[in-house]
Amino acid sequence: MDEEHLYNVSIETWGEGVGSVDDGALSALVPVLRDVGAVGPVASAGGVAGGPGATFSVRIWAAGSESDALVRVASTAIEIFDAACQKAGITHKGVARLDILTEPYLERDLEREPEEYAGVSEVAELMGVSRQRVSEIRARDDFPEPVAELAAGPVWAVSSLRTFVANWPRKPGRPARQKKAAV
Amino acid sequence: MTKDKGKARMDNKDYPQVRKAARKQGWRVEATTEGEMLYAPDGQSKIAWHTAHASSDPHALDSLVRQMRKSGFRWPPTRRR
Repeated sequence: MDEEHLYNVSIETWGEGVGSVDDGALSALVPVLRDVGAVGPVASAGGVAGGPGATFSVRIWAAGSESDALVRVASTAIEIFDAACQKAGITHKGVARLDILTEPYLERDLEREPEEYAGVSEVAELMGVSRQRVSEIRARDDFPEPVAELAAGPVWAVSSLRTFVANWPRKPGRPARQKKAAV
Repeated sequence: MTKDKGKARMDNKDYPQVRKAARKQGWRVEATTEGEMLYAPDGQSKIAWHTAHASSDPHALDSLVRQMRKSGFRWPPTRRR
């Protein structure tokens, strides 16, 4: 039996850059998208492809597998977008990218915390060592590379550090003295 | 965040928070006759947001935040240590 499903789509098209779509025309695209069946639309322009785009949800009645429904979502979304562009007098040079998310995926993605970043002090706190010790541990081959080297010092993505800390074979105390080789 | 059936879920009433965070992250927000136009800090993209339509559509803010995140918007905002 068919059930109603909601999918969120994001479309980017090829174009001549952010300024090639007039602000008034882009604003006018939003109500037109709603009129032709888009749910919760926002209109956009620019990005990597440089043309007009939009993000909105599509209602699909489906009983089959999710992959079958996704194919229908893709064609429906492009039909909606092209119909709206035509009504709003906006042109593009072909679809460059189309992303489809199921509603549960979108919810989970929007609730996901963004990446956190850490400097030497935060890394020291995270690892439970001194700032000086961080400088020593940095020399290890398996220590993550910083994402940036600022004048104030290196900056790491916390996610990469957590992986290192979880696998770090920490040995408490001073390293044992090596015995002098027999002369 | 507006609570929806015990789950943290954005509602269009949360838009002022999104706009405030956007401005703090260098986005330019300008009023239009129907809503607002949001310009990404790198000047490479812009997004049209309609307040009037969004008020009757619970999915509009989700679309806006998803689109803004593609242009580098950090949401939810990171808490200060």
